[in-house]
Amino acid sequence: MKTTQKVILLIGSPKRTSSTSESLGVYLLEKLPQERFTSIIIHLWKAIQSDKEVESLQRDIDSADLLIWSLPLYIDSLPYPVVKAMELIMAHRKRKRLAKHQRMIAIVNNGFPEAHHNEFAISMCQLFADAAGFEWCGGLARGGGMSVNGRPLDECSNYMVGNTKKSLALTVATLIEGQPVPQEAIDLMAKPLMPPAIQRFPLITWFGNRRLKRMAKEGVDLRAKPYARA
Amino acid sequence: MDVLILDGVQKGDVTAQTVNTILQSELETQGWTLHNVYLSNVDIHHCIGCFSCWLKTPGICLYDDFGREITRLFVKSDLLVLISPITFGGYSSTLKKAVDRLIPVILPFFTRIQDEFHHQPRYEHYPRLLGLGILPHPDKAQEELFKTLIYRNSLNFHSPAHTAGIIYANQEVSETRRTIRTCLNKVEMGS
Repeated sequence: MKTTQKVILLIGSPKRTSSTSESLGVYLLEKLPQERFTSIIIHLWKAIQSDKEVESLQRDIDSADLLIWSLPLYIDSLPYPVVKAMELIMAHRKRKRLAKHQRMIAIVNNGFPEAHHNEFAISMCQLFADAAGFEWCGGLARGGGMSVNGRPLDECSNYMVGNTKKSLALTVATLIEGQPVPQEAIDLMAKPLMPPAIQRFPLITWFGNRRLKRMAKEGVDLRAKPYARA
Repeated sequence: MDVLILDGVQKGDVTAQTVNTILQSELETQGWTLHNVYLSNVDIHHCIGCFSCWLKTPGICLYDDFGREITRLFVKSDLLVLISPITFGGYSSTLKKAVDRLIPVILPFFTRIQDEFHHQPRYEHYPRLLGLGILPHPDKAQEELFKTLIYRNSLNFHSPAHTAGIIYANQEVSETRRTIRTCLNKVEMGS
């Protein structure tokens, strides 16, 4: 393995400001030893905006040794900027196949308590990796997005992100060794904040929904039906 | 009865044009009112995850463009058909841009469906869901993933019925017609 590897963190959230995808990806990135890894961060919503930025994205990816995709789940799948970026990279790869060995991992997060909603998205990432010629090194799935809500992980309570941090620490260790994401890291990342049996209590759903109501502006009818059939 | 077709294929795709033409013909024969949206001809902004459609202007996207009209047509329709080249098992970016803009049709609140969390429905009525995925040749992994995506979307979109059909480029037109008819029968639209 090379002495110094170039890592690119690709953030798939379409949000203009802080996102959980960024929180997770940056935490992992910052744990990689700087003497072994140089890194850049790319927000995919920005990188697909113009031909010039797309060319820059493709050049950066061509030069990378390791790609970390940190992505949110949108309607059971990956959001538009991520799919668009994958299509563009794939088209580029069809024109210019690299001999360089490049690795790829993905971290997918969603707002439901359960991580398994991300399985389809991770499978999509794997298919993309295989088609584009990246070595697929595994995917991590996380639920409970509101427990991070775009904050740096070190600002979140250990109850909320303890397992997430442990998972990312294990992932860092194996990435340094050139190994795939270990099952232990996958299991830790996917572990729900509360056991499924507790999640089923209606009171849990009620608490979650009440929190959402508090996030809304006063007087706003969150259940409005603007396009209801007459 | 209304049908919304979201066609997420690039211009010039002959297979996709055939699919759309046959689908239109089958649906019109049954007397459906078609709303056929060729997404490559439509300029809509992608979802930026701002949650305005959930918390500030519930049910309405921040972006005042054709994406709002797609949402309105979705709510009005009894059948939603998604046509797309299967892209790493999922929708093309063209289609996904439009699908992401359908987030306003569900509430931010959770409910339990099939023993897992999903979003509550905003409206009383949701269309049945048909996904037609196009591949250059058989690819079992992509086909299974595409069918999984349609199933998962049917849960979050509260579709009363769903199915997915796979169409290969350059297959016989008769085979394409057969696939589409079978799919329409499965979602209880056909005879």
